[in-house]
Amino acid sequence: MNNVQKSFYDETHTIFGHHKNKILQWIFSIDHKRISLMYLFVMLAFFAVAVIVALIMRLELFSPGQDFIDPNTYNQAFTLHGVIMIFLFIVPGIPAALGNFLLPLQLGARDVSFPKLNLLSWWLYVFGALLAVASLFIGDGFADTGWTFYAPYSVKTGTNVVWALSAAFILGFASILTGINFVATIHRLRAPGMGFFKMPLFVWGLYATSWIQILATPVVGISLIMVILERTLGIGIFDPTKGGDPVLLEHMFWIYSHPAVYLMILPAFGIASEIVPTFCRKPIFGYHAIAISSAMIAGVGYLVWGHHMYTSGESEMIKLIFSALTFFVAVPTGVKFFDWIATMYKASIDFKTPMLWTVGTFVTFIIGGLTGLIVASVGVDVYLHDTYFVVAHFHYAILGGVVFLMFAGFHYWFPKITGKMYDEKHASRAFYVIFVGFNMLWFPMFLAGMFGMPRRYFDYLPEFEIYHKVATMGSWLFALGLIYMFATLYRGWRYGEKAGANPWNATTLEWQIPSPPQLENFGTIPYVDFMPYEYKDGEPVHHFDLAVKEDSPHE
Amino acid sequence: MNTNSNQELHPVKSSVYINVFYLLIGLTILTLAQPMVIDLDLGSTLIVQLGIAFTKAILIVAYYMHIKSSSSLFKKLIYTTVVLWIVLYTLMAIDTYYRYTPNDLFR
Amino acid sequence: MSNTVSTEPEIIYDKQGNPHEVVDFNNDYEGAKLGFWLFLFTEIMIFGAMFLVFGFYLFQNTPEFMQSSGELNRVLGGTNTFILLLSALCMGLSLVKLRNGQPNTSKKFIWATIVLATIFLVIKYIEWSHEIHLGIYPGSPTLNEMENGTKLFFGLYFTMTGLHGLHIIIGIGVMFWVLALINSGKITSTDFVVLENTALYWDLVHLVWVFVFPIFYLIY
Repeated sequence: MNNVQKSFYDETHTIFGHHKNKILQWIFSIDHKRISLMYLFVMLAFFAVAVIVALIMRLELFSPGQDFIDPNTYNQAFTLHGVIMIFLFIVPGIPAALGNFLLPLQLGARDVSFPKLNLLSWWLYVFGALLAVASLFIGDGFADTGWTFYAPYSVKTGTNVVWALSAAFILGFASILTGINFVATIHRLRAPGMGFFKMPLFVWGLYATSWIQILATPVVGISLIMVILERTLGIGIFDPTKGGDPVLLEHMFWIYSHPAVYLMILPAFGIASEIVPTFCRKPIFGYHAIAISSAMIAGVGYLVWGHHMYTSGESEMIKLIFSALTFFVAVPTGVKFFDWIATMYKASIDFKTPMLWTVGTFVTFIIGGLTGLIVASVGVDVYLHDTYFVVAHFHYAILGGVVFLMFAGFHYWFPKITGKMYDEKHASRAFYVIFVGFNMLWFPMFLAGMFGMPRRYFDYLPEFEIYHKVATMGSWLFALGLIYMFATLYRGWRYGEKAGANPWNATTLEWQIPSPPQLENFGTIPYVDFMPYEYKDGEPVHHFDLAVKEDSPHE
Repeated sequence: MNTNSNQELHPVKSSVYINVFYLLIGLTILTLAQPMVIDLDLGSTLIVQLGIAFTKAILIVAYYMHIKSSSSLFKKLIYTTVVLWIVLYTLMAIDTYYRYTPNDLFR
Repeated sequence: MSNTVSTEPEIIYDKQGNPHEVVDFNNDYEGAKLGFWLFLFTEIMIFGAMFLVFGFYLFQNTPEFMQSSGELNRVLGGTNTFILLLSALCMGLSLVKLRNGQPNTSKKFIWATIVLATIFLVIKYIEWSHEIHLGIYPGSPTLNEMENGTKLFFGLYFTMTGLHGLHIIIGIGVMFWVLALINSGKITSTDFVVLENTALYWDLVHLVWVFVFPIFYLIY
């Protein structure tokens, strides 16, 4: 019967009805699955660009002194790397790509609440991306301020800061639209019977993330607009010569940008919560605790932004408050980790590639998270601020946490998205290459940072050479691993075997329909009166066939 | 049309709008009159002015934006946003109050 | 967002045989309203952030802010407050009339709102041109001679009233669109969520002015 159903690759809804042109059918499609794939491809293209920029920077740092790019280009390179990775890759990453695909499937809905808004969000995203790219080739080139756009330098520098700021503003808008869409979808379109505490945990992660997108992004949006006005009109709000306060910009910037890292990690945690029970063949331990801790991380994570500004001149009083609040975020995060480990306890774990990535993340994210507590203490941070320690911490948490889990998600839902299976052996080997390369790349930076290597520097003292050499070699291994992994996935997509509806014996609703899913996902919407992740004796408790409408005769 | 939602809404009456309008007019006149009639210091002015502004805001949100007759979901969302802003403003106010002043710790 | 195609609601049954309605994503009144409220929250965050900046600088530059506030034209500002108040009433009444099945009266009220909004913009224009005539605008030589607090006050004044004015202009555009939708029968007395959301937007624009007006004009 699966062969009879047309998948979403074969037919689609567009905003203008039907059209023969295949490309127009994609870029004007209002089907959430197609939009998510378009997001995915643009996002991965920019990921590749940012990785190449990072490799160039690492190569420049291989030995001390100037090798082949000049200091100013280096400044632009790390800004470009930051802006692309943050605004174009990580922030839209899991929600707009994987989330868009899976949210309606996991909820038992036929699409998101506002399909047209979803498409608009993608168009805004592409437009913002093009704006950022265009500024590379105009005037004095890309902004050299770092992705944080701190005043007063961002007001004074001659590079195209306004372009980068406008791009970030538009990308923020795209992200807000996704957030609005998701919250409305989760509130309105859950399958009948599915209460909030019967939703899959990935949806919980997306829900918390969407709230951050809605409530935090506008704050950075307006601050970026004010920097633009500062540069073009001279309104004086962030210009110290006119009485403005640059520290205020830092406040407003981090009011968004700190919650933004939780925005990145929460859906990633959601992916882990999907993968762990599936490959342990056990109900997840502490479902409610994981769900509520997502909301708690979002809530408390909103109130810790000041820990980026310990050395920027905020008051001593607020430093203590922010430090305490930051430590508090570790509690709900810890809850999640203990729950996952408790789920794995005494399970016969099937170490397929998605599970490998997840367990690998437990290692790297724990390092990233615990070093976060180190830099959250005011006294230590005064010493470590703006060193490679912070760079390493950030990349362990975001690359080793969010991106690794995103890769886990790619592997996990690959059969659902493409209908094919990748080669397990190569995929798991690619994991090991990346895992080793990753640690070789970033771990030396902890040491270099502790010995005083400042971040964003074009040159360094000879005593740091060994760390930079190892890190650069790690970056090569890491890049090779990425190529290996994507090549494996590509081969799986082109030549892989047919995967079937539920290759992992998973329990959530997206696995109860054929892979790839059809247009509007479900023929029959189920009545959900059961928890997700219900396993008995290593087998899912519930089986459905939701592809066709119940009362219609099978074709 | 979706059957379960529209009919639940309260019957629509112009009189509610007009009564609230008179109240808002009255409050606006109060707002304008306060600095002309009683000369207060800045702190008290702000308290009076923002007090009136918040009263107006509550009237607008409750009646003009139909929150009073909306489902509890909308009410909860509004409370959440208000609480979030109170916390944000408090944190910023703490920094503003202590920064560069002798009140700060360790000075 | 909603199409006027009216189909039978999809019903599914649980194990006990009780019917449950599946919400149709194409035609979800409550969802459309929820989505718009979420958008309004982002607007609240944008303006709220600006008020935060205002409060911060008011604390740091109290005397200059009070002095600059006294220089603004309270008569024009006050008039604008009343105009916006009246326009919000018109917008609300247009929704009431539409739902009571009087689309023509409803359209008249929307036209009244558009006219009032335009008057608001004209008065704003007169205010701004007066200040620009005096040489007070962001980055002007006259303003740069003045105290830092004064520069900040007028920087914020132009940014915030400008942003608010932009919202008014967008609002007028949306109202013309709504008028067109009523004329083409896409907004009716049973399918009115677009007009309702427009009214919500207009109330928010009004709400913002309720706060902008006292903090700029009345703290002298």
